Amino acid sequence: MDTIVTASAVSDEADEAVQSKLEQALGWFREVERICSRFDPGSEVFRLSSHVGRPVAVSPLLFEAVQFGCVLSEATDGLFDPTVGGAQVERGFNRNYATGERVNAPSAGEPASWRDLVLDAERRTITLMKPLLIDLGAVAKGMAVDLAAWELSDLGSYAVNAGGDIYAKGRNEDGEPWRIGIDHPRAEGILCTLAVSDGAVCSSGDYLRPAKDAGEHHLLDPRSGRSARQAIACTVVAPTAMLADALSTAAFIAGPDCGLRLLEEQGVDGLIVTPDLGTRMTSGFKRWLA
Amino acid sequence: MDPSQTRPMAKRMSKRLIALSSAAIASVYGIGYVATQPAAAQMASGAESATSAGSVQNVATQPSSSASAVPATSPSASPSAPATAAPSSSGLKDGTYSGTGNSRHGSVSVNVTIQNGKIVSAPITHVTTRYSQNVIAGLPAEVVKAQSAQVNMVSGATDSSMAYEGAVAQALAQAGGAPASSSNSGGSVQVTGPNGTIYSNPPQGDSGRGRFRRGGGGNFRD
Repeated sequence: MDTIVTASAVSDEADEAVQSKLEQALGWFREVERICSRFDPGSEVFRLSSHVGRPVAVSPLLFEAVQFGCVLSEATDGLFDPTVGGAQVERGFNRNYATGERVNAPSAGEPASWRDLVLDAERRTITLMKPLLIDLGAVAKGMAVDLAAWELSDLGSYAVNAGGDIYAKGRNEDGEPWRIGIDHPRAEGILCTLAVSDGAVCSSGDYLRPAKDAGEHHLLDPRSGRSARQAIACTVVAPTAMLADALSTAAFIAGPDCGLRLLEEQGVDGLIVTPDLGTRMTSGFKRWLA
Repeated sequence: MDPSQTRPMAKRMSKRLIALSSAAIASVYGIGYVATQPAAAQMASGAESATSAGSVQNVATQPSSSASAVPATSPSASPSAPATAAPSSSGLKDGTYSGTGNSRHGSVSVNVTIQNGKIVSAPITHVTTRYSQNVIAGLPAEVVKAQSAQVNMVSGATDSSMAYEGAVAQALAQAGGAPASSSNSGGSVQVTGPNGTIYSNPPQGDSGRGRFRRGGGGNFRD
């Protein structure tokens, strides 16, 4: 994860106690990265991808992340799919972001989808029915934000921000709900500002990691194998960052009509920016505006 | 998806993903995690702002060269080299140095601690989000009102690791590393820390982003 992570708290507790909890919270990002990084040959998910056809016992964290990804795939009719890795590898997203080295991931070969994963909750195993790559990018960061937030839950008012994936609880140092700006996808400055006292805010856009082909970006539509085009940015507000992170990806790929419908169905709010810089929102989104 | 199709299952299903994600987090949180890195220097604890942060990038678990905890040092604005220190092969003087880098929406400050010529910790000490003028792009009037006050943080798909790298470069410049350029965020020092921390210049032809892997930092439970 090539992102800056910050954890903030507003608290009357002693400094050392607060600092200790903040550090504890940040440690979850290392843990999630250690297990879920598709670019690190030492990660658990990377090693999982090299075993095909037999059940592999996995850690609870990896199991929950993959399971959530599969449930999300089903709920989004495959628009979100943790096995989209094969096409991403072809498009050049196979570098370890920290070191720049090319990662020789197992070749995905024939087309695969989330349906080619078999999960056994009782034994906590995952079986790859055919060679495929598992990309937990859209789930892992949100999950880490939520886990970090849980570490801070005693503090009352706190916020975790991992490169723009945010969970905020309580009030800021001015005694107001946390003010969260949504980055404008094309211009300097803020698109709009939200006031959040208990919620996660996650955004997807076409400007994070450009692929090697000009004009392509990293959010691929599994139906075409190419970059999704109907939206240029999407922000979701949800009770958990794990969900907001994944749904902002799915809704971005789906585009404004199907994307907003998806968000409404799942009981969350969101905003989608279209290529003409128009904005579309779920019916409840306005209540989040500052 | 056919927009005109009604979905009778939708109401029953709505909250299902919310419940599932909450249950997943609760389950994983309950198990906890084991720290894989040694404890590092105490972080700066500004009295006025209980904010703590870290930059987390790739965390490949390489064996650390030192298993013992790094003794706490008090961060200071000026270098505090021990009497016996001599410049190591990296050319960095022991001590704790602070630096600041600019991000798209504000700035990031770090304290970099050098021991035996190597970076042992580089935690973020302060993050500011500057006043952000709203760019109104076709928003309805009711959205525009009350939108121009300061924000605490920004959600967007932009990442600000360059700000962190710039802050580290500025700190390293004080430690005797090559001076940080004001126009880009890369220093020109290659440093290895106990967990394979590497700070290096981006190679020619890259987009200008540095790559940084941070080791150590913070109080982890064993």
